[in-house]
Amino acid sequence: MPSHSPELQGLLQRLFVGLSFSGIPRASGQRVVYFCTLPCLDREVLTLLREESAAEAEVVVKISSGNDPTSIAYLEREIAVLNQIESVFFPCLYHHELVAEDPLTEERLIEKLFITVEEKKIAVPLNDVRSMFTSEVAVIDLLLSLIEGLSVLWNHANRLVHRDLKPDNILIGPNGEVFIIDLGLIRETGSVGITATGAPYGPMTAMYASPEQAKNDKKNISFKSDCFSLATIAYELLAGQNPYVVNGDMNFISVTNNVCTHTPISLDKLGKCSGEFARILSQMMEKEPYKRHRTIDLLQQDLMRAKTGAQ
Amino acid sequence: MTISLYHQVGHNWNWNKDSLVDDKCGDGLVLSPVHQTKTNIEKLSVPLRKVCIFDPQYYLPNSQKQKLHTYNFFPEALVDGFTSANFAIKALESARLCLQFQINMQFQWLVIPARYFDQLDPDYTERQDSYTVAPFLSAAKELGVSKPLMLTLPVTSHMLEIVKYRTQLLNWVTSFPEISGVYIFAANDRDTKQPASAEFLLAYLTFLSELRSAGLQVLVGYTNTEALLFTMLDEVALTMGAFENTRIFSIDKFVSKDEERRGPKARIYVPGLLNWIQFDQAKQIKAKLPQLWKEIHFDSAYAERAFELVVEPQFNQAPLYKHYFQAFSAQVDRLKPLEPSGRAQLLRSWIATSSDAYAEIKRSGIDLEKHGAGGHLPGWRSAINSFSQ
Repeated sequence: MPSHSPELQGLLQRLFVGLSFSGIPRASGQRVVYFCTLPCLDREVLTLLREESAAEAEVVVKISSGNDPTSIAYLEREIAVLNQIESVFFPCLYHHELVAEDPLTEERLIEKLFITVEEKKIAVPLNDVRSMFTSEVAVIDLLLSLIEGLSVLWNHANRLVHRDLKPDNILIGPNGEVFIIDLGLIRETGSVGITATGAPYGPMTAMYASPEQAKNDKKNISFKSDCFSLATIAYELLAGQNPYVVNGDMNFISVTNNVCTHTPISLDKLGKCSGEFARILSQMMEKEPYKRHRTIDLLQQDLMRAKTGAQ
Repeated sequence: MTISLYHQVGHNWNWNKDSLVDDKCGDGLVLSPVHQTKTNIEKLSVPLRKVCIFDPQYYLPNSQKQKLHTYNFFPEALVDGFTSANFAIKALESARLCLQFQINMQFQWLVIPARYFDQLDPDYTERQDSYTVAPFLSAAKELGVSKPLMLTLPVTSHMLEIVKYRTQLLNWVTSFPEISGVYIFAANDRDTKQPASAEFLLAYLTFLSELRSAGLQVLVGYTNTEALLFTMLDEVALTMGAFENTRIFSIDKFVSKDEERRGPKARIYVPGLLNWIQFDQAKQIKAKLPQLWKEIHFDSAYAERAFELVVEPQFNQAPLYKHYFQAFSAQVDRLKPLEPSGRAQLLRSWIATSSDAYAEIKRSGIDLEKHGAGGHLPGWRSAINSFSQ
């Protein structure tokens, strides 16, 4: 698995001439992620840049291991989706390639690397601006924006599901714009998927996963799974703590078990929001998908009503 | 809080049509291709078709019933000798043709058909998905349909009584945002004409209630008079039918010539007993207990005519069924304006009155045969009480 190192940065600079590093965001799963500046040189990547007149572009470079076919399949799925959707809620994908050797020495790399270059949104992770989302109305607005953005996936012909919604994968722009990143776990509703069916857990971030992900119940994974994650995020923002981390126990098994069995205290009982919004979040976090909102429209209508009531 | 009532059409579909149009009984018809040719349906007037729901009846895909074969989208008619493999290639074409037919006919809803499985198939949902659901949803998208889509859900009592299986069905049915309603019926293997098992009725009611909670419209097909219990839901569409094979689902009617079976004895629906009883026994009650008869009988012109006949009516004559449609509609009309809790209360009082009436009949020495006796009432009472809690 690749890791952040001067050697890796050197390799990237040999691959993308003129590339300079402007920052390292939080660790992102099994990838190394760099914020970079890329001059508009005469390379394939240039033709994909939106800002053709710009002298240089801010990009996100992601490096994953290229050895594991399962991981590659996830990444290729993410690329295919990003290439299909045109939405302001998702970053534009400029370039991707599988690198097997150093371009300078022509020596084979110890492990193959899968590299993507994406648009860098001018935004910060939700985790860094939690203080903007402490009121009920602000959280409802955030949910409505996220639902609008995710609808591109949910209404896609293949009924896609993000499956890894969490504060690190939601970016907030300077004017409150909302962006969704990291489609690495995307899948089609109810599809067989890439990972082994017999695995006890599906690929997920336990604190924000739905019970069907936690149980690897693939045929029940749908947009409702993402809705569960959204409600968990909303709950966490208002309550100041994750609903499935009980007594500070963040052990993976404990959290996963809580996701499947623990019913969080209703937020209105904690004095954090209205009864109506608390009811909506509870419905979004129902253990069985059939008890959650059946359509995106119904959820949006419910949230709009709650917003009107809260204003 | 609406309750609507549809005729489950079978043989002699014109009895249902007459009852709907002339007697104003019910809100529409559930059409039945196994009993009605395509031409027959095309000849119905447009205003009538607009209050009809067409059940494509893909329950037994290789059925040899000739009327089903008049529909070019029926699986066995579309492929030469149905197998799951060869139909898979034609499933989308079947869906397109079937939906286009329903659109052309201007039916009220667009129905996605389903296959009937009498066993607890662990792959029930996957098989329904590939057989009809996925192709019909694709075809609906292609055709840009604007009318609401209704999914057929044929189940058995076992599927509803096993909580885990029921939950899986609910998760599956509610996973299609494009679908607005469910056309459901439950086969219940039993040796009585009325369902008497409280467990089955409670499981059925619970399932229907969960569908309603998910915001789905619910049409309950193939119901006998237990349909009255389903009015405890806030909104529901119920069905009433003439012959028993429209009130109790059996896959047999898609394999055998049920119209040639030996006919059962003629029966009349007695609303005060919440049951059908043999016509000759009804005559005995009428003669021996005239006051009680007045209280439990629904006085219709059809019943009057039947009682005036010198020769006892046969099961295959219209009047006793048209009488049923009127009597049953009147009961539903009494429940309709009430809140669900009020409906439960009224049903309890009807059951209590029925039990008293049965007791009086017994005391008089009239020995009602098994199906006409009140054996179903304790189960009904128990199901109502459990569901109300």
